[in-house]
Amino acid sequence: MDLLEVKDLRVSFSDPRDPGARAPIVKDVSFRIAPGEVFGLVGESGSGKSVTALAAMGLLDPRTAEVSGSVRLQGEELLHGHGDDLRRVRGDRMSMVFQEPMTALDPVFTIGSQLTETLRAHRRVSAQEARRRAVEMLDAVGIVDPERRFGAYPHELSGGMRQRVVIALALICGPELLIADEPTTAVDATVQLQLLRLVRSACTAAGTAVLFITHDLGVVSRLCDRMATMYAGEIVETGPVDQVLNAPGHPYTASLLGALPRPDRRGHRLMSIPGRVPVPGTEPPGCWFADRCAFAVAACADAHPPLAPAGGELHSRCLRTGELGDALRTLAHGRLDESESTAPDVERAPAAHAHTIGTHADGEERP
Amino acid sequence: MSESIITARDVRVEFRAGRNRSVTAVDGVDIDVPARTAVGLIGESGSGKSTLVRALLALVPVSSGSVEWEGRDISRLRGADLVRFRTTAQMVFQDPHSALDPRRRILTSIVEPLRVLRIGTRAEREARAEEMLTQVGLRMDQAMRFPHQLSGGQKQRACIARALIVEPRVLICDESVAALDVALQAEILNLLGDLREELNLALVFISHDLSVVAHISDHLHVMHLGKTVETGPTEQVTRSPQQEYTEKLLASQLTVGGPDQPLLGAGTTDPGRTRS
Repeated sequence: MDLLEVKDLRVSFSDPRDPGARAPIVKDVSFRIAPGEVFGLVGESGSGKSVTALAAMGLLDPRTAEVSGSVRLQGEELLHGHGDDLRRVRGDRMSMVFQEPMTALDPVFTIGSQLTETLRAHRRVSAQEARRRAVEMLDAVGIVDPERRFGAYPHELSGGMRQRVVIALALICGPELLIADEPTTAVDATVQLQLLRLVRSACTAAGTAVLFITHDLGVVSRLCDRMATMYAGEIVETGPVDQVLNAPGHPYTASLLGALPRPDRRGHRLMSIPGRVPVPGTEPPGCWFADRCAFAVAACADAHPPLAPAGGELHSRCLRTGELGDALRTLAHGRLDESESTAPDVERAPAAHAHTIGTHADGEERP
Repeated sequence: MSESIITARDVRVEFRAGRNRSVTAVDGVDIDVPARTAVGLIGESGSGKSTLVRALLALVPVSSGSVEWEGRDISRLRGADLVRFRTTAQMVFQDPHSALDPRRRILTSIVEPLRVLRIGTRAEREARAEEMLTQVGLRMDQAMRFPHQLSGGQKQRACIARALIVEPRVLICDESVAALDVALQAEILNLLGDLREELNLALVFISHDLSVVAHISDHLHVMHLGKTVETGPTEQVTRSPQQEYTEKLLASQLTVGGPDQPLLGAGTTDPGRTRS
């Protein structure tokens, strides 16, 4: 059975200036995570990936957020549960790590007291036993001299160490699922590598599954087993990381890969994506990416494509995914000059030429 | 290599930290900024790269060593000479939103350097601003808006226009794409590449992201704890690093790679798992 099953998740927020408008931010998002699996949720800022995670954790304020659909942990529905039930699950069976460790830790308590508090909120253990487990956990996340650090306050630690403490807090109850929302964005590359190794090894050792939210495809490629790409609040592509990143089935994922600076692209132009993500509530009837897509044809504007099988375990929300195969691969992993010469057979929409940059590259501005 | 516009030798920058302590942010760095060349500075936070470029612009005083421009020490420049130096080198910062005055129209912010440096008449300034807008790919109606009405990429274009309006020979970009999403990052990198060609600019490009800095730079300086640990042509530094620290930095870059890239943690927990 799946550990986490998110089905038709829909989130909208009420706008105090416009009480009638409730355009959904997350739209019919469905995915499953198996026990022990590391699942990457990828998207640009505003794509809805963090809201998806917060909704799954039950952390959205019910006064402003309207959440529908289903989130099940081991078959148990979390979305419409009672506050107390949710509190028992959170921090115990599922826990979360955020981007900023300083705001996740309480500045006036020692890290030791925060660790033991979490443990004793969920487990009947003595103070000494809690302390022993906390020190053990600090050691496990690579804090040197954990006995001494137990009494340290967050401000006495470096950013990388603080994030280790936050990870220790999240893992101390041995959760079945860890949700990590851009946990390494605020740290240096060498520290990032250590933290990701830590997440991977700690979770593998304890059998903890991970929902890892990031905008960084490099991180996903090295950390995750399966992934989903989000665009404008919905999943446009999902599958095993190898398959999605090597041979993407959706032009948006391919474009993101084509935009990455890489050694073989040095001195060449990078792929840019013209236009803008549609504002929630103004999505066109057809494919939401069509007006920015290098491969859009007339049919793309007609009906909103479903997330359909696209070979192997890959699913893509693109009408042309079957016929585009090689063209998408070239877009993702070639250089612009190469892709122009090797993909001449692909029909391009003249209004949305992928390689343009300049006056209209930023597209429409905000209303 | 072409002649150097700004030349720094053995630059040291110290900051006072409390009564009897000081922090050495930059510790004896040599750097040249040759005309029409892109120089990349890579290093982790606290390595001194931002302080170094501020010293190159005389925005922070150097404690010892020298920064020279046209054979003169920039710390001694006054009056008209200082204005001329300010028009030689300009800077684009990381966060375009906080770099623009929220209460002013984009156009006002773009014209401001000319106003502050008392260059041209009002009409000349506006004409120049229009040219700059075209150059960075913004329209006049967008420039008449306020920062919150533009996207991150558009705001960063405005910041680049503001830096270029005084016709500098050197553009310093301090993490100028770090706050942008991948697609916008690609757009700004493409724009900087174009501008460099069209305007014969020298670039000093700071980033903590090696793939970004290597993409645009001809020459790399790897900084660590205030010192340059390695310097050389980009290809050479990235392909055959000579220093242990550079190797470590290269190894920590997570790129979407070929089939040989193992999963993190593979080898420690499950040796059988590698990318197929």
